[in-house]
Amino acid sequence: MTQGVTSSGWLRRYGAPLAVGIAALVIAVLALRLANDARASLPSTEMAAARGPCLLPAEQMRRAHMDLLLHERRVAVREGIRNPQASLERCVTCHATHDAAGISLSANDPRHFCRACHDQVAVRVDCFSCHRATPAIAAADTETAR
Amino acid sequence: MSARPDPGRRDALKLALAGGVASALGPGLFLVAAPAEARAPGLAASSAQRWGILIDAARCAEDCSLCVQACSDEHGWTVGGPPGREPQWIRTVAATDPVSGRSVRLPLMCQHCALPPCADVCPTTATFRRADGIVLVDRHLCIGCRYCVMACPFNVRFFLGDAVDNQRPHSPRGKGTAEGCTLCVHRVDAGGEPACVEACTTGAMVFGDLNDPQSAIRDSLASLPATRLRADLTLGQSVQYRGL
Repeated sequence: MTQGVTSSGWLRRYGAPLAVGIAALVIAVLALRLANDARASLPSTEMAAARGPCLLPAEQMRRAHMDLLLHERRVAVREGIRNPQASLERCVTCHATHDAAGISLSANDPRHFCRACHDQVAVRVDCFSCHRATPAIAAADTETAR
Repeated sequence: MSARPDPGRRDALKLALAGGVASALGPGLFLVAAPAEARAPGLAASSAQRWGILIDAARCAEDCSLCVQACSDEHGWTVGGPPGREPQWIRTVAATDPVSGRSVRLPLMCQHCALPPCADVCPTTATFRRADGIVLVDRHLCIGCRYCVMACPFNVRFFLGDAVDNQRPHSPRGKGTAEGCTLCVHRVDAGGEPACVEACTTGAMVFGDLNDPQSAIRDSLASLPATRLRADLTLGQSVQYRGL
């Protein structure tokens, strides 16, 4: 009886903080899981890495690519300073995605490298209404592709 | 973006600055004429060069359209596109003198004016004249208002109303933007010449730097007269004609 009273007293004293702690732990674990899931759903950069180093590490590119593109487009078009290393053409060449038949996916396809993230964060870019979204093809193929 | 490591561009800028200081005597004064070669990578286009084409219409063969086809292939627009909406970055124009009956056929493309009316009327500065005299459309800023299409006295600016796919990587073009001859700026920046000039087999087209006294185009202009279309408008086009 004494033991029971002591036990319920302990529960009454530490029960609430303990519950909050456990809840926080569960939430933290779940959040970590979700974050990992989100990271896992980012498009793979492995294939692109095989074609040489990107301008910046992937973590920085995810945050800075839009600023890089904005900067490059201004100096390239208006001043004529062309930097092939930082061109959109190089982006779509290294990060090309292909369907089962090995054909490069256009920006109309949700599996396109750029679309994979932009769809997730609901950002609609119109780069590809003017720019080519797939790697350049050999001159002989352009006739049929036009 | 201050943390962005870009030593290459910084060095190039320093180089450009040093060169400018060394050769400039004062605002607009230079000791020697700038060389005509392609710019070093990383250097901006400058007014030291002014790219132009001299076209000898008398040398244009009767049924030749090699220049038109070359442009179409280079930039991915289709000759004989939808009627009324057909972009013609370059086209052949035939004219006959009603008195003498003499007819002439000449290729017509953006004349790359020194004072371009298209750039004058552009409300967003999308149409602009680059420092080396090439008139371009910055499609990032173009809102598709078509003022430039209406302002051009030569009818060589077009509005693209149809969606395009499989653009050439060096020649982006898209629905809802204005477009026209770029003087093959991607080739010029790489030290080459425009696709139309390269394709011309009769030697009717000469491309070069109008600011370079040693260039072939200046040689030719010094020896025989040439005219600009609608010279009365005093637009100072970089494209000049002979044999009209």
